[in-house]
Amino acid sequence: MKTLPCGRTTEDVLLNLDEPADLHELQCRWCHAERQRLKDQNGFITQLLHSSTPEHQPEAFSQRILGKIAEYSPFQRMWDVQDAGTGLAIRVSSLELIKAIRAAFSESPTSQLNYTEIKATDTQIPHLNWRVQCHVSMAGDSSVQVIEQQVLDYVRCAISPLISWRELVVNLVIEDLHGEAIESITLRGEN
Amino acid sequence: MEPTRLTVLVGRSMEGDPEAFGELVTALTPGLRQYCKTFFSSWHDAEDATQDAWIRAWQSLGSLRERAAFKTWLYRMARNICLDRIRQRANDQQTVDDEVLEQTPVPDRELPENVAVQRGEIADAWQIINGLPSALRQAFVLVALQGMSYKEAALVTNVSESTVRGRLARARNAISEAVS
Repeated sequence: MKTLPCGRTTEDVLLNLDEPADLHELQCRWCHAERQRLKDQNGFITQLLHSSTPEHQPEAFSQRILGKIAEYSPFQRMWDVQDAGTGLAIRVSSLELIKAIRAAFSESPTSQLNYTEIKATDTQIPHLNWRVQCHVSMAGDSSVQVIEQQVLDYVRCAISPLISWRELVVNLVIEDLHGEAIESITLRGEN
Repeated sequence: MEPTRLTVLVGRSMEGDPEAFGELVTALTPGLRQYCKTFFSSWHDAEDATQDAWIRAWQSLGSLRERAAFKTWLYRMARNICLDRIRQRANDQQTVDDEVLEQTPVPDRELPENVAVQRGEIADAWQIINGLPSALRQAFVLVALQGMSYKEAALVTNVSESTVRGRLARARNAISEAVS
């Protein structure tokens, strides 16, 4: 690493290349020129690397990976439940119930479902008591008070046509855009 | 991919939705493959490791604690797979241990300053990157190419942010010397 006439080194400039120039750099023509040189040269290579990844057919490769993954089924918890329509004992997977909850949320103008989990909380068969975890982001013009009732309704409407239930507890977690929890509320419903 | 979209897809994948996971694979594979290449001399090895990382991710999604941290979680998993593979192959060209990696002398033929490069004459900029020790290559690919923050790159490579900063500076210096 070379030393510039001002006393700073190339390394000093490189260490802060992603940061705005400090006061010294702003006033120093050598540092300024060095920063520009390093940015130009690195930018040139970075641009080339972005534009040309050798031996790569992204779609074909992704498809190959997806083909492999298809061989590994996700673990799905199965539940013994009572069919809401016929009253018969049936088995449903968590994913079937989750899909129904997602479908209910898809209509929502005020909240977006980021993640959900559903579990039976009783030991009897068929299961009648359920706990649902709902992680949602809410629209900027909405409020917690508005969506908490909506969320309970969505979950209730989603599972009621599929399974008979007696008690429903919804753990509502409101998240920001990055999935960080802002607030948690427990909602309860009975049938 | 926007963070919001990523969070939603990760959530759906954790629920067991293969379509959502497929979207993640399609969106993140090019970057992951590029990162895996920092450990190997061949793209073929990098692709095998990339594929294994996705399979392991699919099987271990239940252990993911923070959905927002999915990308660093995936890259860390890929890094471990790459290091395991290198360890298994004692005769591999790349060195294994992270600390050793930093000290690894680069083969003369690949030393960045030995690569006679003129602007407009670069047939393959990867030749320069491949000339860097793996630790520097990882820092450069994660931060400069893939836009990760220093913090994220530090989490992936299991070092401090200041180490990432230092490695990136050394990588950039080597690149500048190769170009000028």
